[in-house]
Amino acid sequence: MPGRTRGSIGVRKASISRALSRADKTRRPARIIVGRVLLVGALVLATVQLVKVQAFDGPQLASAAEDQRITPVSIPAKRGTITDAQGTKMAFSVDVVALTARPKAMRGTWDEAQGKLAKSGGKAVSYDQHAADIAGFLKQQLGDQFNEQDVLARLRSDRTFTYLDEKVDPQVATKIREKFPDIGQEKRSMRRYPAGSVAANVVGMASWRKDQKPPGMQGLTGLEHALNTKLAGKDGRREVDTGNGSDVVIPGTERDVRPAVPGMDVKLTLDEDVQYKTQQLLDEYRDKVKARGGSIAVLDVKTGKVVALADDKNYDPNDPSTLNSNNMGDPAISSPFEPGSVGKAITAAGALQEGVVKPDDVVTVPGSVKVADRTVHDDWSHPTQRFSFTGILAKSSNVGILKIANRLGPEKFEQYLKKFGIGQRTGIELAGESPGFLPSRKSWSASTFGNLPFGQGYSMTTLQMASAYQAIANGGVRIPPRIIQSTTGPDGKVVEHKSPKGTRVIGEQAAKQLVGMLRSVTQKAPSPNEGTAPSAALDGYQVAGKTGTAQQVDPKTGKYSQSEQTTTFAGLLPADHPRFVAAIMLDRPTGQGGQTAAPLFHDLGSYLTQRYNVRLSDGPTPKVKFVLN
Amino acid sequence: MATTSNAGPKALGKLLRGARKTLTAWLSRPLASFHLILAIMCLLMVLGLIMVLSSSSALSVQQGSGAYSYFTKQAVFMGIGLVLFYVGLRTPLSLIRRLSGILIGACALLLVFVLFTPAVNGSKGWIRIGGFGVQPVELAKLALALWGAHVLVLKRNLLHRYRHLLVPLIPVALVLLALVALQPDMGSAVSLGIVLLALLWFVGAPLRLFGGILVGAVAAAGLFAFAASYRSARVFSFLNPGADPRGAGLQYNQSLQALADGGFFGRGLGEGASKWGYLPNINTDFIFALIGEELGFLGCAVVLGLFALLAWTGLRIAARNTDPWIRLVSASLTVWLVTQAAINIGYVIGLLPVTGVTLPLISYGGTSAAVTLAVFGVLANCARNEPEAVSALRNQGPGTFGRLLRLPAPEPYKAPPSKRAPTRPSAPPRQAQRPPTGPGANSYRRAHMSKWEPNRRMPRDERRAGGRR
Repeated sequence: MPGRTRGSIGVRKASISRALSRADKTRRPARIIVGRVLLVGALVLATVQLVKVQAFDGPQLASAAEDQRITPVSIPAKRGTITDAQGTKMAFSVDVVALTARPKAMRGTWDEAQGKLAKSGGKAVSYDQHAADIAGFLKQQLGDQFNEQDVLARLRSDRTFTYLDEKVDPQVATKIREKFPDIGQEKRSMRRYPAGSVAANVVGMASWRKDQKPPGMQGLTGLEHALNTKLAGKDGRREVDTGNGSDVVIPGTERDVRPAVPGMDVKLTLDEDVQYKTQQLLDEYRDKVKARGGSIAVLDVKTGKVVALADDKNYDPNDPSTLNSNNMGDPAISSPFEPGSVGKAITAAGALQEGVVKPDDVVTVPGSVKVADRTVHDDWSHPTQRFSFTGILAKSSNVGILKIANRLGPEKFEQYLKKFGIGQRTGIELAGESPGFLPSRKSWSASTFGNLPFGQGYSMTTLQMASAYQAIANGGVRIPPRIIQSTTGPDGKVVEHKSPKGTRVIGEQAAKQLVGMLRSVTQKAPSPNEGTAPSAALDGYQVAGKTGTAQQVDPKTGKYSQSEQTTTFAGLLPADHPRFVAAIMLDRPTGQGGQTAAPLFHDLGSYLTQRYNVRLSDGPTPKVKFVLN
Repeated sequence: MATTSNAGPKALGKLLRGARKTLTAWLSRPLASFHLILAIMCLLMVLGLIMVLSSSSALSVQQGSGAYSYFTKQAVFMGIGLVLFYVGLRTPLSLIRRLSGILIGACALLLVFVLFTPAVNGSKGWIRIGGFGVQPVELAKLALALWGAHVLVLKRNLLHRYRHLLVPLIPVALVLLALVALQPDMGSAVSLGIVLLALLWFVGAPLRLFGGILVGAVAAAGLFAFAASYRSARVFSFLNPGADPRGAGLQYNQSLQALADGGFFGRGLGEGASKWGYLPNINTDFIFALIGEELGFLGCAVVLGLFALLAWTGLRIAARNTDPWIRLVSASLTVWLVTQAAINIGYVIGLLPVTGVTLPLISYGGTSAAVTLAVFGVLANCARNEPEAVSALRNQGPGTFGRLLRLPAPEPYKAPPSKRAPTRPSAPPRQAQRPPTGPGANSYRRAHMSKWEPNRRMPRDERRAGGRR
């Protein structure tokens, strides 16, 4: 190297010293200027690139950035409240929190953190102790119903997820989660039914469904089910930005895309107190007369609105475990039965309206009559007697009413059945209403017209029965029963639900005559002038009504059973100024309508007149003679 | 209308002329460089602390250590850094120069020591003191600049020979680089390389040397890059960022998205979404992306402007000083900081492959921040050694800031006394008089001063300074 490079070193030496001397020549040597240009140039280049990224490519990149962060969140809509006519809450929602835990992950995180703590000289607490602390605090906060041992076992277990308590007050939950941040929560709502089983058959039950998407409140039975979408409202949509790979919401990024629309509030026509009393009386009488079941419908005469609608089998909607297939329905509207003698009022109404008979007309009634291949008896054996038309109804003579029906004729009779709503749904807002059964005129056999006039051979629901008597009580104008008084929309606007327009079934005169006749059913007098239901009479008020004892069809034989009966009573009060109409049905009691359903009507009427301060009748029901010879 | 439309530009022109006059007047004040350095440092420091708080609060909370844990650490290191700043500012530069050999030796020992410590995130660069980790490599960068300048100035008149130009600077720098590469810490290796290049550049090394270094550096970088799979992945993802947007190209894509999301005005301080787990290392390597997201183009422009101003001011200090060591040190330190910023910003905005070079004073990283503040201390010290500043400080008193910090007036630069005629052209004995290296250089120099002092050519500045005496 030395020999070859000696000369070139000399050359380089000269060039380097030239460069060095150039550099020293001024106070701003070239290298400093070049350095300055390079540094500032690099930063200017960066600025240019920044403009490209932040301005020109900006929108596209920014939307990509946004897409990866957005997480849609559902804003739960508040479910509507159900109240009775007075505004008493029968069903409403409250916010609750389900406390959750991930025992497996909690153990891992806890042990790791405690390990670190121990390393830096702190006092470590074992996870099992931590779990015990949690369970202890929960017990202290949530009270006696909380199962501390069970929760502690689950916290110490190896499962990935568990619910600690699913119905915790939000404030308590916050307190718990502040103390133990490793406990998670799910926000839920809970339906409360302050009256418990009162009107449960009507109001129904809704419960939180965590398995549906999104999780939410779902109506299961009754109006909660029938009006579910309207009560539920519409969940809103919110968008939040969340951290990468987690559901941590970046603070301040919540934005409502669509607000939640709260559900509709529903006001029923029911009176919770009357409903309670009705259910209580029904239960009491069911037990007293050893019936298998029963139902009652109470309507307001002038409007057709349902004041009470009771079934004997109920559940407590606050406790889903009480719900079963036997009690979840509403038989008062869904289970038709053959009404029996209660149906004689319809025959009588038609006959009076058509003028084929007058209340005081005297009819010769034999002990039995042969219709086609069958012989129809009265309920009690009697020789051929002369009955007033009123007496036929009051004593509930099958033979007598058949004679009247014959005067009316099957065509007219069928028209009146239809006008009274037999075989058609009333159109009440509840789900699962049955239309009952009315054989079409074409299918009538020779004996059919020997059955229908006294309430056998067709079926109706308790509500239909009440509705038919409402027409009689309301001067002949039938207003289909309704149970929703009004609804309040999300805008706070109250929408009154008007009853459908009434239809005239019979004239006012005929209706008045019929009510007058039906009063005699409750007449208390020595035989043979005692009505079938003196026990329904009420001191101070004129009570009109009709008993019924219908043979049930034996499902085994397909024929009428001799032992199994439906007893009914449909009545109205006060007869001189009708205000309430009630229909009572008892399934297979021991005893006839006059002994089973009629006293129930008495008790119910007694309560109604007191509760509503019903004005006393102008006088007692005038006594009339039923048998004239 | 015509008059107003004419009056507008006229008034504007007048205003501009006035502003320029004021600016020129202000810049001609003797301590202008000093005050600029202080201003730049304070602004960067405050911005850095704010951005560290913003970027790491989400991270801290997710780690369960409280929103301020990173911020507190950074603030503590900034406090230590301010002490170092004061040390750098107060200590006479001549003393710093004399201690530079010891400093670099100590740094080399520490760099050896850290290789025996347990690795953190796959890299052994930390010494743990209490709860804090210190990276000796940061100090090594400063030491290399101080000591390298010292050696080069010492051999000032021998630099026309490659051997004196390159030895001992290059071997020592290579040892440091090797130690850093063993950690491994590519970002710091790049920074050390920048310091080395800056020294060589400003001492006036021939351009062909840079050509050679460039070729060598590219080769070395290639080797270095492909020696570790994560580094080659970074390079490939830089060349084709769309190939794997959730894997290797993740940081590139997320960084650009964060910047774009900020737009011109930004989403607002603290409102950045990228820090919620989308952009890894957002509090260290990619903090500039968060500035872009939260403070927008405006915030970015302020940062770029501050570093451009630092480049301008630092090189102005170099140009205005007369002491060649100060000139070399101030220029090299400036280039180091600004180039590091440019590289960091360059990869954040997608112009360079990701190297892990941090943004000085802004990225989270305690040692880096503290040492950078020390660098600012030295730069400020250099600014006070500008001849005009020395004269003003000696004649008119220390000024408000100097009084407050009890700063002694700097000594004027004295060119080393020449015993022989400066122009005498005589070559030194080549083999026998190898210039000294290492910590003992000063004593060696003092002992043998007479032997090789005659060879130096006195630069004009020194002649003038000498003439004034």
